[in-house]
Amino acid sequence: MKFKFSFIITIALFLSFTGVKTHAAEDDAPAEQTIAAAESVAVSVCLESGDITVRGWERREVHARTSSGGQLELRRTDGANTSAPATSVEVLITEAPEIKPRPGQCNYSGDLELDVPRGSIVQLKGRNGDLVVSGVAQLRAETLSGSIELRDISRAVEVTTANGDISLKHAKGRAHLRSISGQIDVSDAEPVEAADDLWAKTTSGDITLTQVRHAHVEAGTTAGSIDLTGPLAHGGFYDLKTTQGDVTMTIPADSSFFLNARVYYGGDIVTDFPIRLVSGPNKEGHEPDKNKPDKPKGNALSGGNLTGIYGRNEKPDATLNLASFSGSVQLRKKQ
Amino acid sequence: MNTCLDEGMLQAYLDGELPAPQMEACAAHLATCATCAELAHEAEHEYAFFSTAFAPLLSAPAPTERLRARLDESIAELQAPRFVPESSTSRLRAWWAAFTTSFAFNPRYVGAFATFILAIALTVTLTMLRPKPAPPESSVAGGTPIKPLDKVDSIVSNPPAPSSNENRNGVPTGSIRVNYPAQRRIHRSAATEATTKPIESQQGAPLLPDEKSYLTTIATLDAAIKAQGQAALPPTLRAEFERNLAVVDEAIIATRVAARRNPKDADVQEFLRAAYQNKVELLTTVADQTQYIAARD
Repeated sequence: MKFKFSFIITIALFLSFTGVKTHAAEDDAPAEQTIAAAESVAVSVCLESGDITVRGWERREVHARTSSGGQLELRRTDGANTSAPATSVEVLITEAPEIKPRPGQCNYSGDLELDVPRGSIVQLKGRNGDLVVSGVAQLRAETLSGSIELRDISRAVEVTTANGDISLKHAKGRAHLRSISGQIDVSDAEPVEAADDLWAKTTSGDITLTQVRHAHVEAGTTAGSIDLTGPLAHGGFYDLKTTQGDVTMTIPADSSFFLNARVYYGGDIVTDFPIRLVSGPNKEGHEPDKNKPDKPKGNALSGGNLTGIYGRNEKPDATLNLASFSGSVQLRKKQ
Repeated sequence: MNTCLDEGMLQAYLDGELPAPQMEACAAHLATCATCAELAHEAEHEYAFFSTAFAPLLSAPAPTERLRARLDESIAELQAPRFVPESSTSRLRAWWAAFTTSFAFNPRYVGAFATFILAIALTVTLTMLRPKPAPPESSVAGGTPIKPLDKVDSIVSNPPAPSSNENRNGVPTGSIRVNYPAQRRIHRSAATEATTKPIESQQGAPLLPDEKSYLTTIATLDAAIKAQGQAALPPTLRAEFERNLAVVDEAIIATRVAARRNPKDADVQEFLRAAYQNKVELLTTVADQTQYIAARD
């Protein structure tokens, strides 16, 4: 009898132990889900905290994976037949497996990885965490605190972070990038349609634009510098403004442009291009001699504005509107 | 929660950033796990150490507070009832209302009315009985007209239309044309200028057409943040917002000074507008977050 009782106790202990282990394993094990989707599926996610990584792939499927378990659901929001590929999917996650995720819920804390078709339209929202997105068609992302790293976006991007850097590489189409505290870097970006513009604004941080081919480029920062390097788009309009910092454009020597440069306090306008003045007396009210048309290099103006044309054509290819309130404006020839 | 808390989770717990169920779970875990409790204790100790070290900096009145107070003052001034010159239409309406009211019959005013009528009758009688004064020499019909009010006339931008007392050539046919309306206009505009000038030239006068609306929005957002409690934000984020707010406030002041000096400079106004816009966006973000945290907790 005694043996029987101790045997039962042992078995019970073993079962409870394995049960606990299994439950713990369920808690922490990565959760995964896959759903068949259309090429241009709309995918939306909202997280409380954690990093989100989205990758475009060739499959017509949306695949989601969480790092720390919980319940994961890919809920169709298109209301279409379940046998057809989904055109709209919401990624729902909860911390504990026993809690059913609800639409619009954002209280999951943990990392999430998503693989989506390359034509996807992705919408991400997070409070704390970095966002890394590559190989999708359109992206709209918003995070409170975290950096945003984007690559190979093929049609449009619109991102906002309150506290973090934004990086965009090899992008096509419209790009609207907003950070309150962080720098913005864009390289190798081009429009898909003529109306596609590049708009980058930050409150405190630098903006660096390299090889951007949009015809309308607007960049502004309150405390930071703006650098643009690369050829000018035909018929391009470049509006670069900073309150505290320098504006520097480095463009090819064969560029043709209309320049309107403006500095206010303690700044200079420096140009490697001999500008033909159109108008623009400096703040003392007289035209600066150094900016006379025949001066070949190193033209500089302390304070005031400089309005003129450069290029062989009478009608310039692009318009440069450059201003710094308490910094300098520099126009450099690309070597 | 059987496994130990990772650093991020522990920090989030100490910062009070976790949702309520997770907070409870962490607290329960810390009560049973000596390792985690020790880590938490160490983290709290470090936090207290840095709080003490940075206390002088954090307690010092930040420039943003002073600037905010200045903005509040400006808003209060803008919202204060301002002197608005009464339009001639409204004055005429008020006079007509008073005039018609005076004719409303009230038995209590019979005595006063009778006295008034009597006084008018007496004045008319005395005026009719008084001998007429000789006309002044300067206005003798047929002579060279002398215009003593030439200066007044010259101020009127449009040439005056021939009055009923003038012939088609503008030569007075009777008395001197005394251009009272023009004279009054001058006095009134001078008076208006005198009363409105201090308002227009005050330091807080709007330099942008939409500056007042920016200030109102900023005040509203500020009030919302104060009501929700900015302390709910994580310390690092709060510090970052404060820093950015100082940057934006500095930009507002600098560009505002420049805009006041160059009121017609569109570029400066654009800088000022951008600075205001930045501040509105910044405060909107903070307000959204404080509201979100308040709702979550």
